[in-house]
Amino acid sequence: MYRIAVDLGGLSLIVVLLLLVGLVPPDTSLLEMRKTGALKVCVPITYPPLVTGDPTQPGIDIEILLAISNYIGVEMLLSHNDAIGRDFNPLNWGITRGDCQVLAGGFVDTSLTRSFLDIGPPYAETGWAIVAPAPIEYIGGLTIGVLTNIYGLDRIELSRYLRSHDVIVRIMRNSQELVDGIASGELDVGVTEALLAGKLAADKDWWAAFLPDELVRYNLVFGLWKGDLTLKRKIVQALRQVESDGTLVAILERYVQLPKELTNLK
Amino acid sequence: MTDPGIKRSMLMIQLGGLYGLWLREVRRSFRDRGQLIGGISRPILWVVILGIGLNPYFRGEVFGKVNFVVPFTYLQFIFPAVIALNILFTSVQSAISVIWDREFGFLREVLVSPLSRGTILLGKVLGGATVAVMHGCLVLLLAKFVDVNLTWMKVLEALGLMAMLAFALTSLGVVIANHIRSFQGFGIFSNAVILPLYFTSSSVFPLDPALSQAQTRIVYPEWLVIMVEWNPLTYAIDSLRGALIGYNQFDPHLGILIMGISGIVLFALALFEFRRV
Repeated sequence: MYRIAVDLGGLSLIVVLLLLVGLVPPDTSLLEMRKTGALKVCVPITYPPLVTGDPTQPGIDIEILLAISNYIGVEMLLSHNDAIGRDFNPLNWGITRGDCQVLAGGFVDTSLTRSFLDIGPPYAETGWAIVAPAPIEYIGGLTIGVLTNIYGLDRIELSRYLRSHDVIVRIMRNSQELVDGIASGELDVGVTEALLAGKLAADKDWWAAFLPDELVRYNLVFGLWKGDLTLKRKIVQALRQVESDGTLVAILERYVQLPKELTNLK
Repeated sequence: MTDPGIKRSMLMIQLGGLYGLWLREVRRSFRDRGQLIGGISRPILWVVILGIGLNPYFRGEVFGKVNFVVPFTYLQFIFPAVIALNILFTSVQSAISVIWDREFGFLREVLVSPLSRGTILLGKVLGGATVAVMHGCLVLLLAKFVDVNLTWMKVLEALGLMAMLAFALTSLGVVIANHIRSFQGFGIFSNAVILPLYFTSSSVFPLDPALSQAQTRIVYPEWLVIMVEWNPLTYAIDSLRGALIGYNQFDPHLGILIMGISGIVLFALALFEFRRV
């Protein structure tokens, strides 16, 4: 009995030692942020409803990150980058580790995103959605304005879907161009990321719906630099707190008007 | 015709003996300080020191520029490989007990017992494999540290794969031990097997699955790609990666198939040689 107790004691000691090793900080990212006293965030100039540019209602991502910064006890510094989402190749956005610690304003959890970045926990779901002045059931033959500024959603999959429906595609540069095109009748409908589609529909009293399930839905996330594990842990902890105290739900309710679910679009 | 009662009691003797030999191996491992220290020093050195040391070289500096093709951090990437390393060392080295038992006469005593050679070998291999799985589990304790989220399903899947790997490798250890007459010789020979097996198993560097065969042979020299692709441990580590971080470089079923076949073949080989002891 004594021998068994000694054996198990030795094993327990090893388990405790390994668990203690787990407390060692694996990098200096959190320490560096605390030293500067600021959480630097790279965002597009505008990507409603995630980043609006309106100081009274700055957007979902800005408000969530502000709550996270407050929880950590640092200031949030925004670094606006007008190239985000504009170019297909993110290398051309010119964002470096020195610019910011967090990338926000339309990042989704995909293998493509994970090839370049680590990601925070998901806080909302999105996908491709259609927006139009009135409900539609057929998209075949329509002229569609497509806005794909969000990073990581599968544009090839969308392109394949639209081609299979024999539509005329016009690429839009920003949400204003999409709105103007639909309002003027130059475009029959618009296709873009779901939260943006919902926001446009709510603002203009239009109709918006998710494209059918064959187009995959994705989780919205914040991008973090790979290897910044201590900072990621802190942000995850902060986001959990923001979620548990109801702040996250309140922010999402203020902004998000999700498009309708649609299964019979032809 | 043999009486069913006698048959049953013979079976009970074999099972009892199997349990006794298994328990002996497990208990002995608890008392072997060197093996326990090895079990914790490897994860600490490989995950904490090497993983953190190399992490800055694999982290992102410019968004859109790929330094490391795998959609995980370097720490996450090597984590399943370190589990395999701990199993590899422990499995092969637990077979040293075959030499130990031979040297100190315990094996002779067991061989004259009513236990069959197969039962004796199975008891030793299962004991060694159990200890190796336990050493693999020690690495799992660092999952939170390397930012790998474990669920019960993931852990169960990993445990199954770890058990298959440990069984095959302990059998390999016995095959080696059957050819070696001294402790020193076994140490040198096992290291000559363990380290090349580990380093050529895509454990510390990935073969990017997005690349074609031709592209892979441009990134790495062909001889290295061939070594990695021909190494059975590559597929075992790949399966563990699939289970723990959801990343596979090869067909995930290949790992299970190769570990299963290796386990059967190596155990059969070990048994063939053990019968001649």
